[in-house]
Amino acid sequence: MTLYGYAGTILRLDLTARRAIEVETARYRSWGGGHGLGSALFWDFCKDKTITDGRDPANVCIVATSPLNATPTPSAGGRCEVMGVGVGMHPVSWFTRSGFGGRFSTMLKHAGFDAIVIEGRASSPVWVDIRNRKVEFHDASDLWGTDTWTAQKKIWERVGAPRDVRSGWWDFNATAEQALDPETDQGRTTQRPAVLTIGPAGENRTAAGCLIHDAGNGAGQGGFGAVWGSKNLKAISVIGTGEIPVADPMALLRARQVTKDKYVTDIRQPDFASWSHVGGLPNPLFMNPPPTDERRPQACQGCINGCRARFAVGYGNESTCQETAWYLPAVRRVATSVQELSEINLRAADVVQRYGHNSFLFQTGLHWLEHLHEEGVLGPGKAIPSQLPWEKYGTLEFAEKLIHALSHREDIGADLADGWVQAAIKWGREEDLHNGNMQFSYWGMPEHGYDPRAELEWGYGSILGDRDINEHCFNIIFTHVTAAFAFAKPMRIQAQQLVELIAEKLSPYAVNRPEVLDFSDGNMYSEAVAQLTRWHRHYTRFYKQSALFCDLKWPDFYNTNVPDFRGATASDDAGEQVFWNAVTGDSLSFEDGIELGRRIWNLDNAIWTLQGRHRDMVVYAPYVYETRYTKGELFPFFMWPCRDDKGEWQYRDVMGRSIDRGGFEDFKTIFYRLEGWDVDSGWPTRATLEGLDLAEVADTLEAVGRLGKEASR
Amino acid sequence: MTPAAPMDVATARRVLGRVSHAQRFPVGRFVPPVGLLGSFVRGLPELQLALRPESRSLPGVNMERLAAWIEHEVGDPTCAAAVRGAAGAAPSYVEACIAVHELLEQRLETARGIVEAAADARSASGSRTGRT
Ligand code: SF4
Repeated sequence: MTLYGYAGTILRLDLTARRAIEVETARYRSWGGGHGLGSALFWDFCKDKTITDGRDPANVCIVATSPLNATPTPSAGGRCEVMGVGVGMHPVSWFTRSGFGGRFSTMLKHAGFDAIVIEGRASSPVWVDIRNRKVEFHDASDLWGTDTWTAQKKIWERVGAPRDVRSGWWDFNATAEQALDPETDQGRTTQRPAVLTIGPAGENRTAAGCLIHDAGNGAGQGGFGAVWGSKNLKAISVIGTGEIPVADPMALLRARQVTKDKYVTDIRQPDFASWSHVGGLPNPLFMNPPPTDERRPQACQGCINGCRARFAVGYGNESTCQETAWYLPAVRRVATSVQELSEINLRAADVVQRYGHNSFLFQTGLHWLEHLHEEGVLGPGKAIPSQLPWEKYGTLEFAEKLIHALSHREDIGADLADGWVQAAIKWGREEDLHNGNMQFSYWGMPEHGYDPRAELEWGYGSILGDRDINEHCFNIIFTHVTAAFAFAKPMRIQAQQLVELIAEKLSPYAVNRPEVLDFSDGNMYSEAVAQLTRWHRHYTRFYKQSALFCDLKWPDFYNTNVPDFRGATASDDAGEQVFWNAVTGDSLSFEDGIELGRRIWNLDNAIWTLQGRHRDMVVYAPYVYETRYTKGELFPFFMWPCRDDKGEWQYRDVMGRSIDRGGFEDFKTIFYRLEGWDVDSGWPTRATLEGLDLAEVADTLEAVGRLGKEASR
Repeated sequence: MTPAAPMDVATARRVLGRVSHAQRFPVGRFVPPVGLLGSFVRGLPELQLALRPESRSLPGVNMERLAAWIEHEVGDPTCAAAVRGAAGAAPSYVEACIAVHELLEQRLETARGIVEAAADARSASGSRTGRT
């Protein structure tokens, strides 16, 4: 039977034996793709699910695609999901996830695979060469020690070798006869392989190790570079010429056309200030002005956005968002012009990409290091010794030396390699987690910029899950409303209408319950906000992390390009489920997708439970309770829809508060009860798991005494 | 007062200088749709870079606190009053940022001129006394 949307095969890489094993995707079809597929594969192939350090040889790392990859689904065609036990989180490195874009996932499917399961540990460095389902393990000793760009270049030279110089085509067939027979034809391509690789940060097994693909696509969170480094896996190269069957190509193209015609702003009369997610204008995301306007847009395959660029100046290519500004606050100390500011920043972005180093740690971590240095605690001859040239803080030279040291476990990098909060404890700086000098809010990770004291769903989702969520589903409200306030522009949609539009889409738990979006002080720990948090966890686990709709474009709750302001999400003409069904031939309702997300989320919680999770560990860093989020810390106001004393909706500033410990404990109890988890432990119960067709998971938890108590439901 | 209002050399040096780490001032940047980036500045030259107008992002600064910081930590009450006035008169937060950015630009230029003039005067008097 044709598995529409899938390549049909999952590839297991047994690194210990250097063996490739194929598994039929059909066995895992019920999990959808991406994260769901990965969690199920982890459950089946990780033999010791109690491990809490991703560098343990028992860890299994999964790189998974979605049925929508390699299709023209808007901003869903080229994302890729990575899973496994992470590295450097605190107090436990959970089974976690990351994602990246580009062309790796599409190429993997064209080569015949829906996912890769990486197991064991090679005895010496290897790289894996995948060409149309042919898999070879190669010695990587000459690649080990190279940066991510050099490693890719060297692999391109090897894999791209037999090209016809004149035509640029690479024919996969050995003979003309083979090419002419449709049964044996291996295809041909002008493409070069898609390579996913680690740099020195991963090779040295530091928690900052990323997976990098092309110039700037990176899976940063979770420390998966360190996971690969611990497995002696330098890179996976993949090239393929296959095709992906689509169940209903006309329906797929129709939905894409509807997206363009109805939901996306008309390019002939663009609405620069439209309130929409999928319908906004293509938006390059640099946190610092680009050095030149001479650039070409760059995007993941199939994307309608193109959030990156390649510049004529030749640096900063493909970096986006946080990488383009990780060093910005430091550069301002020394820059004398905007041009210089821009150049040092984007060259510093190149440095982290080449070393395969996660720049997100510097989001708040760089301020902390500077603080320690300025306080006279860190530096030459200080309590925390460091020979880095701190007097050159802000220069490119310092950035290079810092990233080199951190990627090679040198200087302060020796302590930071196993996690920043771990280093703080080792250095006797726990006070910084109380006073907010070190803003690592949850699981040993930096605060994202959307403080849990203001933006509740972001904080709750992160602490009740496994990592900083980095999901902008509801956060777009802040963006639209706050920007309008800043410009003193009229609101495109008034608060009451906005929450009602969103609530229409929050089926099943919060449908038509706008109060779930009320983030006022009196509603912070309510059942309503708990329902919103649940819906968000389940939506993202399926639609965003399994179907791989890009976070930067989906969901589309409201949309001012449409006369009635109703967004594309869950719609009958261009909702997420419409694309899913057109590609796979399923007849999934939007709510079915949410339910599948709930199933995946519950399997994840079962894995965390086996890793030792308990509700007592589910707490923010102390500063979140002990200090207030002050106005002007990041921005002077943080606008959100709230109800006033009379129950009327307004946009209000939600800064200036902290999280109440007792209130949050009550919130956890409500959340666990709604999820059908044991409220005392946070563990899943048998009834909940069996209701999700996960009886085998319940058996496993019961066998180790970690099944939640039924009575507490 | 105007940003080009006269200032003494000591004030000009403070305008161009840096305060201690403990006296730093928080300034964020808001990049729709993805992020708020936090940072600190330690002087007006840095602040001027942080407030630069851009088509894709906005600076994040509490104007009330900023005026107080310029007055008490940087030590330029004249500039602080001008910031307060410009921010208060602006029809929107964005306009306030633009106005304060322009004001800082002029204030820094004035300060640079004064410091340079003082240096020239010193070197001129140094040559007169035989010092080089
Ligand atoms: S918006 Fe950016 S990250 Fe998302 S799919 Fe498009 S190019 Fe990729």
